[in-house]
Amino acid sequence: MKQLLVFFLSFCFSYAVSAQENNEVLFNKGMDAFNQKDYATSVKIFNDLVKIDSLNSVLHYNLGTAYLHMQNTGLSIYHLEKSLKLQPGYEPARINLNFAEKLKTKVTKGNLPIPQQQMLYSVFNFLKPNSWAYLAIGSMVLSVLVLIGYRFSQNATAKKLLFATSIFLLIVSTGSYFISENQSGYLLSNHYVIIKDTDVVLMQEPRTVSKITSTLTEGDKAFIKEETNQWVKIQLQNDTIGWVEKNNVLMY
Amino acid sequence: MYTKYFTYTFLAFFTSIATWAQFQLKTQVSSQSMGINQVLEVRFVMTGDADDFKRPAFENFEVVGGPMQSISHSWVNGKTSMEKSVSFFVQPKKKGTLTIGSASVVFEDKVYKSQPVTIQVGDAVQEQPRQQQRRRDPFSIFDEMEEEFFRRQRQQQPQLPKNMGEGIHLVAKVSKSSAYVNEPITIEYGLYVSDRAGFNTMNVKQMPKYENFWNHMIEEKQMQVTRAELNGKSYRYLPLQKAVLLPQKDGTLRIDPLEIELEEQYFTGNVDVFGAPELGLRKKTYSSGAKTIQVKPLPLDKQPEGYTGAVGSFNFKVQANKTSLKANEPLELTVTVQGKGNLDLLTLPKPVAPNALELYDPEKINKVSKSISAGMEGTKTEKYVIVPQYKGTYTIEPLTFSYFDTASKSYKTITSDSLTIEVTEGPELPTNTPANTKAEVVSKQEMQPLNGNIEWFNGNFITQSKSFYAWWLAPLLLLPTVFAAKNIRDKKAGDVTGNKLKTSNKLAKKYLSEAKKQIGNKEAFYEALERCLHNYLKARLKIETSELSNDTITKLLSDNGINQEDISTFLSIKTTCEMARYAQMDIQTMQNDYDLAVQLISSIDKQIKK
Repeated sequence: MKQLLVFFLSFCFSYAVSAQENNEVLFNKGMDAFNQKDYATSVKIFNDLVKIDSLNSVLHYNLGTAYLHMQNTGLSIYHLEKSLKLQPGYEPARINLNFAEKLKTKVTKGNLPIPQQQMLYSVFNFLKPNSWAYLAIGSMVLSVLVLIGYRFSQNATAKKLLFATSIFLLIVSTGSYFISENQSGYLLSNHYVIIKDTDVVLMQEPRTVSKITSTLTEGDKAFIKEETNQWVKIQLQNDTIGWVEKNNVLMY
Repeated sequence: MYTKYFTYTFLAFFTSIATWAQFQLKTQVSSQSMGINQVLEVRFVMTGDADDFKRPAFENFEVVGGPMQSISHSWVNGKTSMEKSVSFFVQPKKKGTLTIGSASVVFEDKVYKSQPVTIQVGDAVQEQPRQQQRRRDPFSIFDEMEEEFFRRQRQQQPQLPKNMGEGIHLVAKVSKSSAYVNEPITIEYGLYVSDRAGFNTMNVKQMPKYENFWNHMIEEKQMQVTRAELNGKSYRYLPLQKAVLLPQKDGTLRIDPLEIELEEQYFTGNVDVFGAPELGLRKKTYSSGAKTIQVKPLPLDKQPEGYTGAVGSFNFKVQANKTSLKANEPLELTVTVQGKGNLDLLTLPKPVAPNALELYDPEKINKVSKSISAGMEGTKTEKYVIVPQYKGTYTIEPLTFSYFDTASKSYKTITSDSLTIEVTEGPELPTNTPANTKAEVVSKQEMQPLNGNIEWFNGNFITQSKSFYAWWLAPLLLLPTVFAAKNIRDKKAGDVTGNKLKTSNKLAKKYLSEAKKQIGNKEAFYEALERCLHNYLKARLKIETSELSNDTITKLLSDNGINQEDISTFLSIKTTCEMARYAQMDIQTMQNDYDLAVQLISSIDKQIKK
């Protein structure tokens, strides 16, 4: 069993290492292009990297910043917001996001609803989702070992202590598992949209021929309420609710 | 001073005397030559108030009128003059060269004589009747004049225009009879008046209302009469009203006629006092007639986005007066449409500027001239003032202006270039998180650079894979295996005492729990203990009897192969229970009895199983 685990881990690791080396080169190229003010190339490289590692807050931050220098309002807001979602409280991303919002042609005021998952995410974000998963496995193994110890012990007080420890570790393991599920589930699901283009129309119903509720500008942020294959029901900052076509928005 | 005035007065006096000194007596005749049948007027004019006028003899003439005296005084530039005249009407008696002798007057005791005048008298001219009349009544000069006018009028009458009063036309001219919606057309109402017609006053009875049209009157300061041709004839032309019309809907639109009432002149056929033909005035109403215009709708299928209704031909420009400036300096952005068409009704596109540029409401400048030849042309301008707040480079998105080109009958779109505004000096763009003071401190420095420290993640959550569950739950599977192995090992080790203890505990729990509760309470405890032992026997030996005597118990137990020792213990406990109700007992003995009962039960149980 031990041999199997070692084999499994080493396999994962070697695979990851070879992929990383390649990405590292690309990443440095993107950084160099940015420093030489070749923002277009930098954007291209970071875009490729983001496709490979889509949940990396640093990559999103770099891409968003490069877009900001290209004065691309919608995409820079999207990537900076995404970076902040992945790593709440990442100060440079927040600052650059404020710069990006200045590029918007219209000021929007008001607050959007915050999903419950996000609150939990920020509370438990001191560990990465995978760390929580490893913690779940580790504490489960410990719990079982302690329980076995309990079974073999003769001393009544030792027995009690071991039993309590085992139960506690079991609870920790289950909790870690659910936290890990929440964290990854939050990162994998979309809660907000950023409007990609100017003059996107907000419809009253999810149909192409429908009453237009309002017109949105590039970079507007909205909360996802409902989703179909082609349409998203969103709530704007001024609490207006309507449907937009998915290809007009970026979801995160 | 006084002497000076005195001198002037004196001088004036002197000159007046000098003029008086120039006294003259002249003879004036109306004509030097005349017919024998005509009357000659002879006037003797003197420049002073002379007395004792003696007329000449008029030997060869006959005086037909006079003498008539007239005196005139005049005061010109401080100089008085006086003229006195005596006139006679004379008729020659014979032909040839006749002389009118001199007249004489006395002026300031001097006798003055006029020069004689010679007159040539020729043959008689054709004025005989009047001459006759005049001779009869020389003072009826006004009657004569009237008579002469009538005579002239009789002579002129055949030359009068017979169709006087005809030849007035009220015409409405429209520049186009078919147009697109919003395409400017012009209409001009004019009055053609031929040379032989005239009118005194004009009264507008009905003005056209231009329903379904947006109308702009072309104001003219003066109405000028010009020459114009109509149907090959020359007329005097008076424009009455000019307007630029913009049709507001499609279809056949009617323009109501203009109706005016003229007080026109016509000849009554009579001749007036002055010999002119008598003009009468009559009122007549003229109408320009209704006009219809075919208005075509604008094609809807190819209408470009952001079309605001411009029809005509236009140029479109967006200009900024500077592209590089400091923060808080104003910048002027001009959006101009220039051309021909419905400039009044079109709206200009609004520029879109980033938040950091403050865009103020525009100043609108319209320079539109309306004329019959061009309809409506000029420029429409909107001047925006932009004040950048922060340093940086900003882009103003290109503006598009589309219009319907009437010449090519298609939509055209003009897109301006995007403008880049560089703000060279000024405060940095602040961030809008005032609550977070830390963020503000950082933001005041610069836009944040890229992050070079990357931690690769590669986006695989291990909770998403099945192997996670295998790893997570595998230890739980381990548990029963380990427990089972431990149990087997225990059995092999033959842990009798452990097992014994376990079963006795189990039995005691099952049957003696009632008694255990009552330890300490003497009567209740022994009663419960006895009942518990009874119940145990009932349950284990499957006997139905309610009353158990010592004999039956001994028999039952020995039948089930229970050894004598246990039977006697059972009986002794039973006796203790009965006795205990009346004897003094303490808690310690109760506990001993209870333990004894537990031991007994487990011992009996073991023997029954066997």
